[in-house]
Amino acid sequence: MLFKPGESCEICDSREGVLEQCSMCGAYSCENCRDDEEKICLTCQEARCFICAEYLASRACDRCGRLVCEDHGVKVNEVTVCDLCRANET
Amino acid sequence: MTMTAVHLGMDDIDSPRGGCTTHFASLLVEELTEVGANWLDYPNLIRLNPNIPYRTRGNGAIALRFEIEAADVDRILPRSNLLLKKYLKEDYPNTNPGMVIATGDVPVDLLGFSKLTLWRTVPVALARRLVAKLALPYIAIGNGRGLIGALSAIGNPLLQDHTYEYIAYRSIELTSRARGVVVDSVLKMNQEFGDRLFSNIDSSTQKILIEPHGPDPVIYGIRGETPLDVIAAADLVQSRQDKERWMVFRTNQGTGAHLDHRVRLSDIRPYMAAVVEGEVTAKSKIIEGGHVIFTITDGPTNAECAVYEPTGDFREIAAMLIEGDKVSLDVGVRPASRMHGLTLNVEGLGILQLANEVILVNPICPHCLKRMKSAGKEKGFKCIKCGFKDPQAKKTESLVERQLKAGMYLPPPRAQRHLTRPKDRMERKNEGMPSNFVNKWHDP
Repeated sequence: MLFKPGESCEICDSREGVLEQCSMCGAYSCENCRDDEEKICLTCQEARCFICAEYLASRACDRCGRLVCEDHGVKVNEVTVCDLCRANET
Repeated sequence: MTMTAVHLGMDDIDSPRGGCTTHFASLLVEELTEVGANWLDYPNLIRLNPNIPYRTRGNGAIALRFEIEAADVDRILPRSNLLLKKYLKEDYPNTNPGMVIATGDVPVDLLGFSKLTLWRTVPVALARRLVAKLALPYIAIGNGRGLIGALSAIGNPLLQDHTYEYIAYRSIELTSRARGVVVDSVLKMNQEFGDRLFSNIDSSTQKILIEPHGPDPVIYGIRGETPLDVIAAADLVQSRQDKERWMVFRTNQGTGAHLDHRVRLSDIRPYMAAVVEGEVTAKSKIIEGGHVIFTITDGPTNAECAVYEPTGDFREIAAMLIEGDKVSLDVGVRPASRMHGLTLNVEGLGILQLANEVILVNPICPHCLKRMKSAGKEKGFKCIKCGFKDPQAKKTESLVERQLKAGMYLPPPRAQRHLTRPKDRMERKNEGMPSNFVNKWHDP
């Protein structure tokens, strides 16, 4: 099946209202599924790095469980530790 | 006595420090059986999009489907909640369990939601909106992320392709010790059952894949085509730790269900599981760490693709791609970071058409038919044997036989996703709901 974005909200499939593209991921979302102030969809709002909020997370910290991007979480031997937990440990 | 069909979904009842949603489900099955549940299906183990960052391990959710006396339906969730509270590890801050109950037919809204969560990420807000709209009783702890998996599991009745997994559990008190699964017993099992089982062994390394490595209660899990096969196969597996309980799950593992969407490169989104097509723009290169990187284009858009070192021989295939090769890729989309743009992590490589590989070679001497040597910069070529010189001669193009063949390539089983359709299952499909149960599919 070919994915055809722009026909409905990529999150809730609604075809009502104005669809706008998320400034972080490019997904089309309806007003119920985006934060108009930040111009991002709710998925990105939840999945962005909790430290910088600039990039989407690549993994969850194994100590605190929060999501971090590649810059703010180091993966060693399959264990990811975010910068904050690392700072607290040292 | 009026019986009501109940679908009980659950997810995120585990953490990197222990526990397992399937193990919790096995405890709940025991309890619900005691209160008179009449089972409509094996417990469903539904794997969701493997690319989302907040999964604990394999991003699996569970749906239990049963009939119960209508008067008892309201008691299920409080009873499940008691068990859940006893089960949860309090020391990990990011366990966000969710449980949802739907009665009667599976709501249509959940069918669509479930399809979405196989290949995209969705916000918790959408799951909360759905439970409110459908007025579904639920339990949500923490940020409620478990609701997403709980709803998705209910919404996927596995009517298309499905497989089975037998999971053996140890006592929760012994999860810090080695499981001690006997390798030879697994190799023997695999030999005896042949293609009725899948993804239990990595044949190139003879490594067994049925034994996890974390502090969870699973001793081993055997994947196969029918409940009878996986139950009989488990009889052959030996382990140092004793089985405290076991259960058979019907699952979407090994079905490739997450790769149902073809996506243009311009429409790729972070965390997507998708199939993309394109032409390789330059010879692939190996970077530090042994990973293979190449770029594809579908005309207006280019995308960087990565094949990682642990994929072994699969990486060697990717390393042989050259400019002009036409490929179809099964990918998981890694979000951009400060260091790189969106990257397509390749989990399946289909070579549609191979480009001609051409090398430039010295021309042949027209007199003695030997290959000539360079006569110096811009001086043409000379024949060492007969002394013939041709100042105008230029290098000629020669076609090289490609080592690659068109076709589909997958990483070895040790590097595959739970959802990946393995080579052994390419032509196989188990469709529809099971019409009858094996006598014993869980214990206790």
